[in-house]
Amino acid sequence: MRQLIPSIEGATFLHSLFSMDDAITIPALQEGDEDAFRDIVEMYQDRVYNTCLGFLPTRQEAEDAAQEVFIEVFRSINNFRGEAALSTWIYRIAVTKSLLELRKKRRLKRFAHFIPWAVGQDDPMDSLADPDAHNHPLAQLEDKERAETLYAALGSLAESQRVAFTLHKIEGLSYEEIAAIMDASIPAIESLIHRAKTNLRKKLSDYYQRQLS
Amino acid sequence: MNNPAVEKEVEGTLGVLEKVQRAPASPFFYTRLKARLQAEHAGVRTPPRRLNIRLSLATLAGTLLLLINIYSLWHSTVQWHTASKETKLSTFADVYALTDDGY
Repeated sequence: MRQLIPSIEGATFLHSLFSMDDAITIPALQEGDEDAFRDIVEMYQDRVYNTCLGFLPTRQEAEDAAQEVFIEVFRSINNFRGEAALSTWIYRIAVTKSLLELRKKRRLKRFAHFIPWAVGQDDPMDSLADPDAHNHPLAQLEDKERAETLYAALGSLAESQRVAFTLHKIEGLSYEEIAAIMDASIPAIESLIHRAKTNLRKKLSDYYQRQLS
Repeated sequence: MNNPAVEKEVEGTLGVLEKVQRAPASPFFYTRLKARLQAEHAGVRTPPRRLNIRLSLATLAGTLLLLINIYSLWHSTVQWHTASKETKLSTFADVYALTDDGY
């Protein structure tokens, strides 16, 4: 069964979210301390990678996006004013980078629809609904067909619903944490997740009705 | 959603969410990240992806096609305006098969 947040990691997360650790780490990071940067990367790399993997279809794309997240952290740490916890800020960057990458893929997909030879058949965006072919964790499951259907249904949700739902269901974050990341109120997040569940159920229901008829 | 078979499929698919495992990042994640940061710092540009090359070629091909079309249109318009009345009538007759040949 899936662990929402592994115990040690979860403790670290809550610690970094609510303790004064940020106050020690951030000045060191701002001074360009390589050890501090390494510590931050090691502390957050799994969470950032998993967040990216919740949106992007392949491990390679998720790793590229995760690297870009830390590059952004490295470049922008001097602009970080501590209004949010460091973890919240890093999650925000991870979600933004993943969504930007997804939008880029969608634009390319539309372009490929008109001029397929320009994009080629081996382009990774062909894998949007094919996690099986690219070793996505969803494809590691026994029921690959269901995983693919679910992944496609998640991809068809409105962006804000998808972000809230993915962070809650796949990353295991609480409503409070998601509200901080998305800069929204807790009721707004509850509403987004509720609508995401309803829409997901409807999309799957329509899909299976067509399949079974 | 009244169909029990559909409902069962939907529940089964939503149940997949409960089985998703967290995937660890690669053990070489930091090494790769550091190499990328150093490369960027040194001003080394990553080579353009094959996809970008294809997109550039597609744009170039599209532009060429458009220019050829514009030229053809301009050329035929100029030819039509400079042609004599007799030539125009002859062309018109040829296009609409108004000649005596074959009748």
